Amino acid sequence: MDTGEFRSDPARPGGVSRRALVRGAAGVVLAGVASSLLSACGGTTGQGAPTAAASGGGTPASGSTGSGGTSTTAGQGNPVSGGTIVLGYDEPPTMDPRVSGATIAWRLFYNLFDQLVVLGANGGDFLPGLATKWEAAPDGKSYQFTLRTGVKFHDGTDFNADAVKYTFDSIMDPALKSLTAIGYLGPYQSTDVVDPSTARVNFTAAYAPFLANLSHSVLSPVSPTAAKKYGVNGFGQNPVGTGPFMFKEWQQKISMTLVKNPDYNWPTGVYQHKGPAYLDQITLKFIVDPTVRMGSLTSGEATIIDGVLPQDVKQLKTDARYQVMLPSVPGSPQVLPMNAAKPPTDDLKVRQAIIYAIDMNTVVNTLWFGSRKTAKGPLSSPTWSYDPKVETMYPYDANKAAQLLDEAGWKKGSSGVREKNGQQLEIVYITTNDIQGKAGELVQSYLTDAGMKVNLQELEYAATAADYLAGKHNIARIYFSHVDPVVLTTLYHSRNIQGTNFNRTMLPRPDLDKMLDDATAEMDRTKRQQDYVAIQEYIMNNAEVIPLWEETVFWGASAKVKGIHFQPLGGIWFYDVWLQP
Amino acid sequence: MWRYIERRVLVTIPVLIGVSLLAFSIIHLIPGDPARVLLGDMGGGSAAGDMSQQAYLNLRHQLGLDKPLVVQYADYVVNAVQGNLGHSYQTNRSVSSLILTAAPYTIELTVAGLGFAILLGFVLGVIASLYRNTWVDSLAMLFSLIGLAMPSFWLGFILIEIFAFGLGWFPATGSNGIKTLILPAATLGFIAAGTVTRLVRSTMLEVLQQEYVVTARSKGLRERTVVVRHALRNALIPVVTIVGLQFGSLLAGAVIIETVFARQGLGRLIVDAVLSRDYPVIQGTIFVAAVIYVFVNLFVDLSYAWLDPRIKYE
Repeated sequence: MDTGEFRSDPARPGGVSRRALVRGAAGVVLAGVASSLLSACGGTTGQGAPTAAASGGGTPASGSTGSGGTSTTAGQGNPVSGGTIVLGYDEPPTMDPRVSGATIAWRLFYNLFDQLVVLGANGGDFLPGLATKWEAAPDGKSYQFTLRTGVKFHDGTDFNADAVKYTFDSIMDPALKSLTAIGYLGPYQSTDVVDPSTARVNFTAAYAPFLANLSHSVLSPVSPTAAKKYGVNGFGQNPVGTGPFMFKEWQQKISMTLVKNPDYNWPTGVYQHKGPAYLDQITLKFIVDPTVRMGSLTSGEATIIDGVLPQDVKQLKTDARYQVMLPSVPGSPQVLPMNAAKPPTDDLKVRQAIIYAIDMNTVVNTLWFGSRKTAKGPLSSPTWSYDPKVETMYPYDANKAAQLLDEAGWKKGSSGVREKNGQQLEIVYITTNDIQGKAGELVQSYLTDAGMKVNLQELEYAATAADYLAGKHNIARIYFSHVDPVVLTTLYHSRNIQGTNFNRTMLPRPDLDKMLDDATAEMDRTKRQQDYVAIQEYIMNNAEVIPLWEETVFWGASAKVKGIHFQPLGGIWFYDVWLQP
Repeated sequence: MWRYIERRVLVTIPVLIGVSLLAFSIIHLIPGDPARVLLGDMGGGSAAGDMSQQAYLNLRHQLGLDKPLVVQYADYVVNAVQGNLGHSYQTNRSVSSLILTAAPYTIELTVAGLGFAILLGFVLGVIASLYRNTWVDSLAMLFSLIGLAMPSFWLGFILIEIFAFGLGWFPATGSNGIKTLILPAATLGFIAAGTVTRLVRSTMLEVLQQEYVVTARSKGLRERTVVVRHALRNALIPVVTIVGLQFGSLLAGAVIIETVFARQGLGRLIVDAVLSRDYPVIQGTIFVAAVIYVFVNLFVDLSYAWLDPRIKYE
C-alpha cells in the first residue's frame, strides 16, 4: 500500500502519493498528446506549394552580400533565359477574363492572353496586338480588324476571326455573368467573320472607346474549344489564351502556377523582344496577411510582391537588394461623390466650400506616407485627355470655404456649428470601414473646423452599397480604373443613378449626359479629347465630387528582377522580365 | 439500439430543414444586394465598367435574385436534395467543392482544439479534485476561469505575440503543417478547457465520495487504479455530453481563430461569403456545419451506451 504522504482531506483516507499522481498525470498527458497528434496527422495538413527557388537565374536577393549597386534603368546587361519568379499576390476569384471584375486578376490576364490592340507606353497610341491593322467606319458603328496569322491558343487550336466572334458573343450571353467585359463592349451588336483573318465588329451606335477598351485584358480572345469544353463555370479554372504564359495549375487558396508558352512567337507592339518569354515559370503564392506578404519579400520566399506597405516604401527604396515601383493607375481616382439631391449638399456653394475646406495634400500624405498623389479632378493624371486645369480650381482655402458658407446663409452658431433657419449644417458621410474610413476621419476633422457637423458612418461594403442606392448619404465614395475617359460616363451619367448606382451624385444632369454621350460617339480623337476636357471642367465647376488620391500599385521586388515594364493598369508585363544570375 | 439510431436520424431531418429555413431568412433580411457587391469596387479592385441597366437586371436574373423569396427557397431545396448546393456568386466554383476544400482544415483545427481541451481539462480537473481546497485547486480554477472569460481573439493575439513574434517557436499564420496548427488549436483548446476543467473536477469530487470508491480502496487497490479505472470512468458521462456540445462552440470559434491566424477553413469561407453576400456559399456552409454538429451529438449520445452498461437504447 502506498504511503499516504498527502493527507489534506479527511474525506479521502488513502490519499494519493506523489508518485502515483505523477504517473497518473503522465498517463493522461501521453494519451492526450497521442490523440492530438493523430487528429492533426489524420486531417489534411495542407500542401504548401514547394518553394520554387529560382534556377539558372540565381537566388533571390537576401543571400547576396549587397555588393554592387543595382539599377533598373537601361544598361542592365543581357537578358538570361530561365528561372522562376515567386509572386506574392491576392487570389483572383476567377481566371476567366470575360467574367472577371477584379483588377488583380486583370493584371494576370495580360500575361496569359493577348489583346487585339495594345496601348503604347505613352498611353495614347494604339499598337498592333493580335490585330495588325484596323479601321473604324466613319460613323463609328463598325470596326474592321485584320488579324495576325500563325497564332495559336495554348491548347493548339488556331486563333482566327471565329475566335474573336465567339469571345464577344459569349461575353454578351447572360449565362456567363460577365461583370466588366460586357460593359466594355458598349452597344455591341454582332461580329462578322469576313474571312479567317478578318473580323468586323458592329455596334448599334457610334462607339469611340472601343479601341481603348480592346487594349484591356477583359476583352482578350479566348479559345472557343476550351470555353465550350469547360463551360461557363469551368473556364475560369482552366483559362486558355494566346499569351506568352500558360496556365498550369491552381491550388485553391494556396498557389497558382503559370509556365512559359514555348510556341509564343507573336509579340505585341508593346513587347521588347521576340520569341518565347525569358522566364520558365511564375508561381503565385496567395498570402492574405499584408505583414506576412512583406515578410515573404524580405525573407526571399517571394521574388516580387504586390502590396508593399506604404510605411515601408522609403526603407525598401534605400535597400540595394530591392526595388520599389509605384505605377499609377489611369481612370477615375478615388473620389467622394456629393449627393446633390439631398440638403445641404444640394447647394452648389456648400459643395464648393467642402472642397476648399479640406487640405487634401495633408490627408493623402498622412495616409500614404508620400507614396500616392493627391487627385484634383474626376480623372487621374495618367489618363488620356486628363485636363491639368483642374489642378488649380480648388486649392486648400479655409477662408474661401467660410466665405462661401456665409454667402449660402450658414452662419456660425454659438456651438461652433453653422446654422440656417434654426437648422444645423449636418453632413452624412457614409464610407467603407477600411482605409477609406481613416480618410473619412481626417476629412471630418477639416469639415468640423469649417463649422459642419459630420455624421461619419464607417460600414462594411455591402451595407454602404445599400445606403448609397437609397440616397442616404451627403458624401459617398467610389473608384473605377480604366484606360479610357469613358469611365466618366459610368460615374456621372444620369442613367447610372438607379440600377448599378455608380453615379452617386444622385442628381440627373441632362446637359452633362449629352456631353458624355457625344464624347462616346466622337470618332475624331482630337475633338474627343476636347470633349472630355470640357466634361472634367463641368464636373469640377459643379463640385460634384471631392477628389481624394490617385491609385498606384505598390510593387516590391528583388533587385535581380530586370526588364520590368508596366501594363496600362499598373500590372507587370512578365514577357520581358528576366532574372539576373 | 438500431431502432434508436433510426429514430434519431429521422429526427435530424426536420432539424436540418429548420436550420436551412432560418439561415435563408436571416441572410435575406440583412441589407445588401449580392449583384451590387459583385459589380462594385469592394476590396479595392474595380469591377463593372459602364454596365447597362439591362445587363445589371440580367445579372440579378441569372443569380435568381428577382424571383419571390419562397420560390428561391424552394429552388434551393430541390437542388440541395439532389446534391447540388449551387455555385458561388463570387467565383462560380461549386459550393460543394468550396466546402470540401475548406472543411478538412476546420475539422483538423476543431479536433486538435478539442484534444487540447480534453487534455488540459482532464489533467487540471483531476488534479484539482484530488487536491481540493489547496493552492493546486485554486490555480487550476484560475486557469479555468481565464479560459471561460477570455475572448478567443485576445488569447490568440497574446499567444502570437509571445510564441510567434517573441520566441519565434511557431509561425503566426498559415494552414500548412503541424507547426501552424499548434497556436490556433491551443487558443481554441484553452477556452474550451475552461468548461471541461470545472466539470471534471465536480464530477470527480462526487464520484470519489461514492461507496464503490471506498470499497476499491479498502480492497487494497493502488490509488492510481482507483482514480483512473473506477472513479474517472464514471465521471466521464456528463463530461462527454459537454464535450459534444463544446464541439459546436469550437466549430463556431473556428470562425474567429481562422481569421486571427489567417488559416483556411469553413470559418474564413463563411466570413468572406457574408461580407460579399454570397448567398449559396453562406447557405451551404451553415447547412454543412449543422449536419456535422447533429451527427457529432448523435455519436456522443451513442457513446453513453458504451461507457455505461446500465444505459440501453430501444
